[in-house]
Amino acid sequence: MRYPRIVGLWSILLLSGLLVAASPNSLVVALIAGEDVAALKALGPQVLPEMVRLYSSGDTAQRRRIAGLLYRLSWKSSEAATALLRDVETEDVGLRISVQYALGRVSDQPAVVDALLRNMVGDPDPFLRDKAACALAYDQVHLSEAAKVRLYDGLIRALASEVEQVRAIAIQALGVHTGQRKGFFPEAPIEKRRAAIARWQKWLAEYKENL
Amino acid sequence: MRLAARFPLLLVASLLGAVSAAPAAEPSPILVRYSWDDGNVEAGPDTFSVYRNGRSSVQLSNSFRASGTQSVEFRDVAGDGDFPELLGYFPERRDGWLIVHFALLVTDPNEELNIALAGPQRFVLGRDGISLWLFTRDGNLVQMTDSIPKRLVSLKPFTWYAIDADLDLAAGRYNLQIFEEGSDKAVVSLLGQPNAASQPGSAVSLLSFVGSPGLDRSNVVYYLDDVVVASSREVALPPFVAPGRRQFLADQQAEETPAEEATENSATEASKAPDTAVLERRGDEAFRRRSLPEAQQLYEEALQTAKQPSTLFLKLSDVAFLRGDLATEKALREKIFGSLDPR
Repeated sequence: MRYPRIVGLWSILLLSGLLVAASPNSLVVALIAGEDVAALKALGPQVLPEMVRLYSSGDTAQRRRIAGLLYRLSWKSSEAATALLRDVETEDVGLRISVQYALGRVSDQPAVVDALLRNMVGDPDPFLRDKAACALAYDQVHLSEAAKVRLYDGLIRALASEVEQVRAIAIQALGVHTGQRKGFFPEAPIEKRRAAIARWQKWLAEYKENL
Repeated sequence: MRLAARFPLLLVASLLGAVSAAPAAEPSPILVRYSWDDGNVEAGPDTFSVYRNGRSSVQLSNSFRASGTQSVEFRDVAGDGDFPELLGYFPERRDGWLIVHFALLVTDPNEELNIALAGPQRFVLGRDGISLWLFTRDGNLVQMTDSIPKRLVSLKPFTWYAIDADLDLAAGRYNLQIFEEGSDKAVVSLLGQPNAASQPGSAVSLLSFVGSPGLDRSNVVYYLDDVVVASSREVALPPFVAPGRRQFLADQQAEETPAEEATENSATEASKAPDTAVLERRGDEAFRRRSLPEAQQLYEEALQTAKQPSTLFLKLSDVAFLRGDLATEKALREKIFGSLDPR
């Protein structure tokens, strides 16, 4: 079981080495076109600048494909985050979703959390709001415990939204991170919601005290 | 290097005394006990699984031990795409008290490790997920309580720590004491801590020791010894019938499936061409009659087309045990549950 895998890996590396020697950019182009995550991973994070360049110069389909690959590689890259952030409010639904999902996989920048919170709370399309909440719930893999304060603070503030769906996706995202609701139900009377938000705020204060 | 002989939790000591005096099948409060020194180191569905893929390892070691002659050594390798794990199983508990005790030694406190007591929802924060979660961060041992990471103690390298958690499962709270090697005074003593996600009544059935399961960034090397999980109530656990299991799998499945339902299923399946499930069920029937060569043949035929072969491996391991072929029994069982054998 192990021997063929090693042979396979060496083949990829040798092939990659030969192709890189011939034309590094054409290799990355080919691997992106084939959505070959394993081969990109084998080449290492040094492929990121070329991927970002191809993203910035690509059409919508290419950008979506590269955003998907950046998501799967999950390598931290401020250049990738900067490029993706330019499309975080694009009207192309497919690209928007790919970008929102990829951002947390490449960055721990506060700007990423802020952009996703803005989309979650303020986008006119409830579907895109929901996808922004999904990105905040599942894809902020590089955030330190201190950096999560910004995320939690934004989600708790969203519990007070006048839009019930925003309240619902905010408590779902908080639930994914903490496993708790603290008695918050988006459809509950406002007095009960306010009491639950106060419990979340008290929780966040205690969270900050322990950093 | 050894931990001071006196483990502070007298309750655990008395429980251990109680179980050693009682016959194996008698009710006992002990749900899990791994000392690694008594020969009970076999992985299986009623003991534990060992995962050591990638470049990580989990193995018995006599380099360090808190008691006896052996402990278990965990080694994680950052960036290897996997992490080491020892995952212990015990009968699910949702109320009463649960006592968890273990001894831990780390070689570099700055490397990440994670220890979690969890329920049927496994390793997520939430009801029936993680109840007790301890991990290292920046040289400290940290607990997750009420979904908040809180520092407990700055760990010293190459020093044993005895960790005692007493969980009130219905209340979703626990008391935590940590003792450092060579000291009688607890370095951590906390009462009434909310469990990991502040979930009263959260069930528990798993105890896991790992490296870095998330971002694969740990090069931790640590040692584990003297693991005990005990209940406040006595539990009638059946004795082991074979290494790592208290019941043969085909016998267990017969108890879980009503006889009429099994007969109906067999009649329906018999009208079709033999497939994996039919062959396995016929193998089960042969096993329950203890017609072992027939059971083995049917299980091996089923294995040719099985998409999920693990239950067949365990059933073939059961057959091998009853036929006295202990080498095959061990090899088949360890395909599923892993091994602590040094490698």
